[in-house]
Amino acid sequence: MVVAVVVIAAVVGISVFTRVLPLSQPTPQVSEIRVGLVEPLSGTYAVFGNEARMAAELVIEEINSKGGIASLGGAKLKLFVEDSKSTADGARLAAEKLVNVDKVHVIIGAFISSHTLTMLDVTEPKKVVVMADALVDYLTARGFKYIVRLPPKASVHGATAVDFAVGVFQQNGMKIQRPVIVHFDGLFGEVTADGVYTRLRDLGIRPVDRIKYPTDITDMAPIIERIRQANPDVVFVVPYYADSVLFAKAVASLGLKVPLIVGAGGTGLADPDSIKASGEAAEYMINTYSYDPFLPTNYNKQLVQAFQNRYGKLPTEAAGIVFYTLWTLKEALEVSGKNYPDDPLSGDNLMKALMSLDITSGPAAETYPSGHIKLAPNGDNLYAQAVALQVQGGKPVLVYPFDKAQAKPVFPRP
Amino acid sequence: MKTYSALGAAIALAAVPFLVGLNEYYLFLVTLILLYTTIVVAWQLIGGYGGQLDLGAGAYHGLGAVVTGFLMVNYGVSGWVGLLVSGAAAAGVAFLIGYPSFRLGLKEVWYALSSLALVLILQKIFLLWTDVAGPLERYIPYAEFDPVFMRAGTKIFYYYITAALLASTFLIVSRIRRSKTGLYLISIRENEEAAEMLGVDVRRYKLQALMIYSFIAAVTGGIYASMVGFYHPTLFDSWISIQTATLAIVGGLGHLLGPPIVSIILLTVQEYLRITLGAVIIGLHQVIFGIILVVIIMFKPDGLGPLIDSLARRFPASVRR
Amino acid sequence: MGADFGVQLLQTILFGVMLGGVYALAAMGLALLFGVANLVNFAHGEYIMLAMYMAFVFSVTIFQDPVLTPLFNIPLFFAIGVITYLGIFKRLIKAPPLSQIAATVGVLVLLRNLALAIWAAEPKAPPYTVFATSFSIGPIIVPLDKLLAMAVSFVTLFLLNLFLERTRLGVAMRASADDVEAVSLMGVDTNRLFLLTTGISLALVGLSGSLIMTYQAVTPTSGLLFGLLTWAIVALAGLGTVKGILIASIIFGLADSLASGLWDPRGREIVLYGLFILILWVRPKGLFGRR
Repeated sequence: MVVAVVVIAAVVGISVFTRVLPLSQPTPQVSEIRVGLVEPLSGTYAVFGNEARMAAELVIEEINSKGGIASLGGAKLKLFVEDSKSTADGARLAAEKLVNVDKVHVIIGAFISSHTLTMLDVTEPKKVVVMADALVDYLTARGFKYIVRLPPKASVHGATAVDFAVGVFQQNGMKIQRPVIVHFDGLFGEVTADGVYTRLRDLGIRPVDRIKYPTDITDMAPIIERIRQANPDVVFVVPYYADSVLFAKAVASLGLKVPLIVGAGGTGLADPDSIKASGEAAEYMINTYSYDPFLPTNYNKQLVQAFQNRYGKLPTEAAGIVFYTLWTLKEALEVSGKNYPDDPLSGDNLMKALMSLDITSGPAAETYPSGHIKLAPNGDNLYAQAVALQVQGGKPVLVYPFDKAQAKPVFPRP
Repeated sequence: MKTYSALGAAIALAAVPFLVGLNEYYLFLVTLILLYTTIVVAWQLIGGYGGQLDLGAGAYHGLGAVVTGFLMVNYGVSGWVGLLVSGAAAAGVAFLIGYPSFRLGLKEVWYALSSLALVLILQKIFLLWTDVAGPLERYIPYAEFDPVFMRAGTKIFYYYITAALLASTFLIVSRIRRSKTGLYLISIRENEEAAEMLGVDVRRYKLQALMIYSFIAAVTGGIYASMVGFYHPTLFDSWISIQTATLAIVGGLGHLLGPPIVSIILLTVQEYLRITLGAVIIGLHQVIFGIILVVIIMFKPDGLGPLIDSLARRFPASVRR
Repeated sequence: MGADFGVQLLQTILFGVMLGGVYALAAMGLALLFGVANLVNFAHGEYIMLAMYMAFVFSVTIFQDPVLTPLFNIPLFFAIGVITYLGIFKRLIKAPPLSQIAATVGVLVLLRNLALAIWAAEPKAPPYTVFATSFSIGPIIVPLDKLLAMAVSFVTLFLLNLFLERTRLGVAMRASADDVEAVSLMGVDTNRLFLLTTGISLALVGLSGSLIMTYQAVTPTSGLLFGLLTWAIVALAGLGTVKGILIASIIFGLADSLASGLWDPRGREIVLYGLFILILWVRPKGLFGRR
């Protein structure tokens, strides 16, 4: 009856295991607001997750040092960070821990869209609000009630990339004839590329090729070769981080000549980490982003400066989304404390507070590209806008929207 | 005495959820630990008794997840049916790969490598096969509590399914070990040529062991998919293969008690390290886990099985067997 | 269309040969250790992964260019080889294959987790090299970084071949591959021989890691992929000669390139490892093998 021994061992092992771990107690009165952050801190997407974490720590420090949430008696925000390990199950496990052990009131995350979807299975039944920093359109379109998403969705990024390219061609008296779409084969890649495709179709332009590559690609040469065969006048590419570096390097080393290369979707090609890793190959690469680090508002300038002083790099996509998401959360908490003093942190009340917001001034508006945040019933921002940055002289500069641009886009690529 | 131990075992397994305070997160972790331990116990059939260092666990686990998930998502088929179908599918794949391999005399490092290759091949096949899986996660419809469909919001449901699976796997393996098949398998491991000369149908027994093991590994995959609520080709995970084989080796090849005990303890240690150290230095827990494995394999090449057996011998004889 | 396809095919074949040239170096280390010391190193791929990460580290900290990293990687990995031999392999030489696999799987777990802890599983794309440019011959593009990697690989293999055929130590190594007992009776210190073999095996890994890092990204799972790939090459080549490894590598390089270029980059592993299993079934002793 070996079974008995095995099982007893199991029981002893497990009970020791849980005894050693602190089971945190939920706090009844509002002395702190528990904010969970699920980000890919290790693994394929660690570059983004770590930037988001930096931003969250910075902004939460600032909110707390300025007196916390006034309507809740100066309650402070407390951050609980969990690593999704860049996997869908990791994000789910992280959400499981934040909801059941840390008992957070709201979760920001999980940057990768498909990872965010696996969290919702955990958060919805417990009515924990998720403020997504992931972009895929249907995050907010699957009937989940406790989710909002401030950054522009993936299809907006795709459309922005097309609008920019069309504009650049027009300025030079040209028309797009032979676009090629290249993207990784994950959820975000597909949806963003669909956004590119749809906007092109609406303009009556047919892409000559749509090339998918695996998320874990290590050698871009075959992809570049296929692009060359298609002989495009513009390449729309949707990469994450490591693949964007491979792509830029392969374009340079294989001497691919294309007048314009535009990345869509906020990650890769023109942010400081990609530029650092790609060296000279990054020059003249363009990408769309959900945040404009060069937004000329007072608060944004100040925040970007503080971020650079502390971490030594320019905040882009991941940090920017966290900036305005946290400040929006702060405003919602103020409203919730005023309107629902009995239970300001319940998922329902917090959602009502978020939905009632119409932000046109203050730190959230000053860090948002369009300067305006108001949520539609599905949880998306009605005034979502994306921008485009180009690498010029080793630094990203704003080139789109054209009316706000710091510099003219370099076109065609030399 | 025998009935008492069985009863004690059942009560103890049933008590675990209450020991962790019904906390969903800890329930999730203990369920995972029992799931992976189940694969380790089943692996004994091919590895411990058959002497083939199989690294295909990730392939069969993944197949279970994908087939069960596919049936649940696309046809609304109950997960219970899915588990059986996916188990049969995995056993079928095991046959297709195992039959030529054993027939053509593939063994040792070549067998280990080909089984590992299978994990990656299947992963990429299902990545390209978008009708069934593809690069996008597929989500199993949510249900608060639907035991017929095998889907529930609470992990306690999955915990008891897994506990029952582990107990039955253990019983199956211990029964096979005492049967004629088990004796033949051990004789193959000890000396394949000699066994063959004595007239043992080496291929048949190896193939049987492989198919039973792959069936059980697929069932664990199906339970996993239903518990996390989605499936994706990354569930064909070579790490599960490697983890399974190392835990079984550390537990002692061919020992009955060692592998499950070692597996439960080490996986618990790993989770504990992950929670406590993982936040300090990401991945540190993995290194410590790796060092523990290498040290045990280097200094106790037979694993901890003999040690655990001698400890068990201190119990009254009736508890032991 | 026909001409286009011809160009694409030629281009793909060129890429394949270049890939194969680099794979040969990576596989040679494995074949040497397996052949000479009869040692199954299941962690071979993990050493390649580690060499790639080290090449990345050296190129971003010291050299600014991955092309120079062999200067550090070769001696470093020779030393790692010596340490691995003294610490682990020495005990395994006479162990049965199953124990060798088990122990080196343990090494695999350790190295992979070490990489996870140090680099947090982040993929590292190749740093910028001055050779990241290309020239063209007619419609065919020849990337300089890959050409250089292949050239270095070929020269190294040529030198290794000379070493195995012309020097006393090399001859002893080859003899040991045939019959360890005989070599030991001839008065060769097999312990020292195996120590050097492990050192050379990993020095080759160090060099190949540097070369691969000029054009390819590395992740902690790269170890698994290169491990299987190099074992597949050894399976095809058998344990015969440098020439056998070279031919087998180019076959796999071509399969790799044709699968990615003409079919789907996501399907290359199906082709490579499917080919591997077929080889094991059809030619258990390899094309040029003696064993």
